[in-house]
Amino acid sequence: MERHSIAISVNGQWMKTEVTALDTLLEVLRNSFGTLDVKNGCGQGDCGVCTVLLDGVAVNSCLTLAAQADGREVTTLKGLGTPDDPHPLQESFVRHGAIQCGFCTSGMVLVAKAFLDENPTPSREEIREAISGNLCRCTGYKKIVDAIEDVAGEPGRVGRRS
Amino acid sequence: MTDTRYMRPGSLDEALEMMGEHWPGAKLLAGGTDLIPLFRAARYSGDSGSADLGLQGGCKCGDCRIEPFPDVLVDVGGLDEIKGIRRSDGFLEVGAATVMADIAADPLLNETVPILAEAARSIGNPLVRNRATIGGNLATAAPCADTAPPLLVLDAIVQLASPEGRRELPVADYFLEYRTTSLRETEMITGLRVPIPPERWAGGFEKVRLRKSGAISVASVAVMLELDGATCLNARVSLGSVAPIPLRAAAVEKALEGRRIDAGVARECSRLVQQHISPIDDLRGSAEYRRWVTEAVVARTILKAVGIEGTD
Repeated sequence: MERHSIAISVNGQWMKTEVTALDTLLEVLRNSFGTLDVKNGCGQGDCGVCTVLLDGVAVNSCLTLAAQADGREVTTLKGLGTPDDPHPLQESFVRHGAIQCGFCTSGMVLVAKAFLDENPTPSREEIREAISGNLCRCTGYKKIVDAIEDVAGEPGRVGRRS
Repeated sequence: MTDTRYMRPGSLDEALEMMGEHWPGAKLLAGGTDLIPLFRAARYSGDSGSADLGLQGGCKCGDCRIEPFPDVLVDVGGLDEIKGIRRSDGFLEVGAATVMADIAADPLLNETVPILAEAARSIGNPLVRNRATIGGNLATAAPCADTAPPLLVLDAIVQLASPEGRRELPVADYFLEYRTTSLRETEMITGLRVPIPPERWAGGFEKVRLRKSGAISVASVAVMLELDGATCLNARVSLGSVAPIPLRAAAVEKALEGRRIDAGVARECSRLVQQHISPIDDLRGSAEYRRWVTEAVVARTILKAVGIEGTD
């Protein structure tokens, strides 16, 4: 079996492993690096629970080969903030109760982070469009949009930490 | 599990060399949004968990379109040479590895060929659009490739390269039959040249879909009209998802030419679309519905191009 040695920066720490050509970034993050805050959902780019930031761009890690991420920077939810020192978006999601089962939350927060970096003062409709690749089966989205809207338009808050 | 080797060329020439050396075992990878789920499906389709169980030849169900695993994956997604959007003489040059998000957001592209930006914006969802490329959209050659209808009415030219050399092809000559294209062995799409339409041309794009995001088209329509006031001098109309390949509707185009466009004329001309299409029944819609909706949306898109909206 053909193996490739790769190195990926995961939340600022360079991680090395061996992969086959067809291993996805999602599989390697979860199974080799133990980055379990990245979730495994549909496996085909419909649900968004596997979202990571690849060099700052929100992508489906199930639609990215691990080999494609070789030499690049991956940020997962834990890279944004910790329970002791949460990111403003994480705080806002908690404050607004924008979480029920929590399975979509990691992807939602990461997508919101990348989106607000690009568009710091979005309309509600633009926020809805931005999270349209992330399915939530609990909340009906209102509280998630509320949480993102609450953080929007506060310069310096969103960009913190990466 | 598989013996596939991943290769990341540093230049286009190197990519072509790899294609030549490993053909027919070489497969191009760019955004991977179409290819990677197919590999995944093939990897997990063994029923005993034994990794090599018949998977080398792809899925045998006959229903899903699963690729046999290639010997070599040549990842051209990161090649700067075939990325980006720029103006050159009367053309817009779009690199094959340009992602949909960049096409959707590019100011120059939105100003000169807005129907292409609109089509790119309608594809997948924001996450998919950050990876999916326009070259991949054409290489996959699905009937529902949403950038195909606008490229057809813009008379775009596909730029191709292989170890043997380069050539260009009108996008109308690129699609041959269902998922079959003019791409030759070892050949790859490097970019598109899109003629920037002169002043008097106006366009429209419409995609019928079951929801706003993450939806594959039920039918899609692109229109470009050369107008003198409301009179149509030249017309181009194209369709996606309603035939084995994306195609132009010559009968509709001919009927529109020389006419002063109003709702009645648009409706009358759009009826002629029926002779061009051969839609299928699938999860997204019945053939009967597709016939009905295509005709209605052709009329709507014609009116949109002329600047008459919401009257149909």
